[in-house]
Amino acid sequence: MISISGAILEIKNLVTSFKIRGEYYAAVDGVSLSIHPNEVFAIVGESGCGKSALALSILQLHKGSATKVEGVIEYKGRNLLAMRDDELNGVRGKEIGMIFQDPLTALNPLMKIGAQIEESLSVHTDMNAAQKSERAHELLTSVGMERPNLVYSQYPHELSGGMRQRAMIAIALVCRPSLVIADEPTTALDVTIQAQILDLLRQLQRESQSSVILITHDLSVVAEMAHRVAVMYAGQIVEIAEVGELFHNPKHPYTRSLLASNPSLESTGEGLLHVIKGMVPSLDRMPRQGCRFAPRMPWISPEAHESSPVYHTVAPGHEVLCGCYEHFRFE
Amino acid sequence: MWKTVIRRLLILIPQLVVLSLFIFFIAQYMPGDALTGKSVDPNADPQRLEELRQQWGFYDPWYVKYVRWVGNIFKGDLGRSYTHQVPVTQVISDRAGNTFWLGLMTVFFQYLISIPLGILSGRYHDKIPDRAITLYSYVALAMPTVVACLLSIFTFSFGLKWFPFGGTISIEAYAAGGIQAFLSRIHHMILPALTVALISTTSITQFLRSEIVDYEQSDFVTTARSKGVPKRVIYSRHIFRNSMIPVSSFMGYSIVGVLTGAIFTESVFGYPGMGKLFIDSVFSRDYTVVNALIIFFAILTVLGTLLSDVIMSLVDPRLKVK
Repeated sequence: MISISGAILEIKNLVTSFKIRGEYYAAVDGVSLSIHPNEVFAIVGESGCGKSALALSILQLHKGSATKVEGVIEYKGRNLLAMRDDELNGVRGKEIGMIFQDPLTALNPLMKIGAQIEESLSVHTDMNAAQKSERAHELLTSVGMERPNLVYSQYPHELSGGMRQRAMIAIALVCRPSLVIADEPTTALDVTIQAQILDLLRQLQRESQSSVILITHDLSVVAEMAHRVAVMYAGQIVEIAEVGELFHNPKHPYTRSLLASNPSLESTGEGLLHVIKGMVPSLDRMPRQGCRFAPRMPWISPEAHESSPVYHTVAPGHEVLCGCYEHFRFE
Repeated sequence: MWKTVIRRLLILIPQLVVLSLFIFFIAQYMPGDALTGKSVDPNADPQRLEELRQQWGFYDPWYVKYVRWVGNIFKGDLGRSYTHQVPVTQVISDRAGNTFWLGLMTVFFQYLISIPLGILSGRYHDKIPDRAITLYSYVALAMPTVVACLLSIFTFSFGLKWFPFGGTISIEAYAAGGIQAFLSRIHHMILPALTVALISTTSITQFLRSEIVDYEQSDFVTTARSKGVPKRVIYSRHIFRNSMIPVSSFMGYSIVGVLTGAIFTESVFGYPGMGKLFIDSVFSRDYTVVNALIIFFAILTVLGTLLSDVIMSLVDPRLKVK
């Protein structure tokens, strides 16, 4: 069952709050977005902007009980946030797969790789041992392991970082999910390995036609992988557009600053790289009214911001939060 | 793996040399000697005692005594017990079995009690079962062995009459032999073993608890949750199993703890094992037995810690040496 909009996942007004000293603070503050079938959707932003909190909210994988997730997350028409834990377990791993940032800590050190891949199959299918083993070997081959038979019976510590991440990808894909959430899948890896893993993800996405939510802080990863992209700042989406549009026609001051602070091969090395003033405010100090990026561009007059920022459509599918983008210039 | 074991056993040799010197001197400087106690006996002839002191070499210089002692050890002769008038090896071997079985039962009870408690405590941490277990753990930790033993004798032997006051076997059962003797021995061991186990669960319980609490927050548990694995299975397959590894390595240390603890337990329960023998020998200045026992305990300590390392490397694939 696919909703009328054709989206596989619809997030409406998601608020994810963490309890700090007895009070809840929203790390994701009113995010709405939709993911279409066979689409790579990137969410980009600085550390602490709420992108990982958003990713974990979809399957409600936050650690500990001091987290509150409100709003609607509709997967194929069913609200994940209204589900009981056992219903949600039917979606986790089967319909939606997850790839985590650090493949060393994300794999159980005392379980063989094969067993960790087969665990999902045991939960979601009634395959027998031989079928599960066959599927695991098939996956290990398709994620590009050179010696799948050996890796199958190895422990995580016996693999290199890149191989561990390949194993992690195999775990996420073993039940052929329609949606894969990749939370910074290349951040913990060497640059050369990063490229290999991105190639692999792109190739597997094309083959499986599944949708991917790619969480990253790396704009080059976005450019390489994504079809559409949302830029997050302080728990909100400040700009959302197709990748080409965003890179060629960035509107929001934060997006423009991010792009300006990214070193490129063409830059001659003359002049300093752009640095965004200040830092993302911590959760309990975050401004909750008006334009949240305003304090980091004090040279823009306060009148340029909206008191309750709304989204402005600047092109088809391209939306920007707060009217200040029209008045922005670099200092 | 075997290399490590052999290396550890070789390190044992210099450790024992230093230890033997150390205990030799401590034993020498204890006031009195094996015959001091006899001098209060009006039937003992002081002249005869003096003769015996000469004959047994009590007046020889320390280096002569030390070399004689060590030399005899290499010949497999630990000397004669002054009190029992039989070779030390025989005195010890008569009692070693008792201590071994009592120790084994104690360690068994220890793990039988502390593993479920640790799991319960970690699984429901900061909730009522955990608070209750933690309270119990610290009361047990603070409880001196002697007090606990006396309390349990008072309650279960004197009050409820469930268990004998002491000893290893009842006279009737000894006479009857067979299965009856075996059951009587078990019956005599239960109270001391259970008492010591009950007050020594703290480290295993609390260790297991903190492992479980840590693992609940670990990334691979989040991965397991993202696969849709039910909570119950996550606990059994991912959290408990991983938490048991460091706990299983405690086994060696537990054995050492129980053996050294036996000094108090056996004395209070009048249980004729090596612990009671040690205390009795110290009081009667039976140096040959004291020295032999200390060396024996030292070897067991090293073997116990070695056992811990071996267990650890067997159960943790990350430590497997190829």
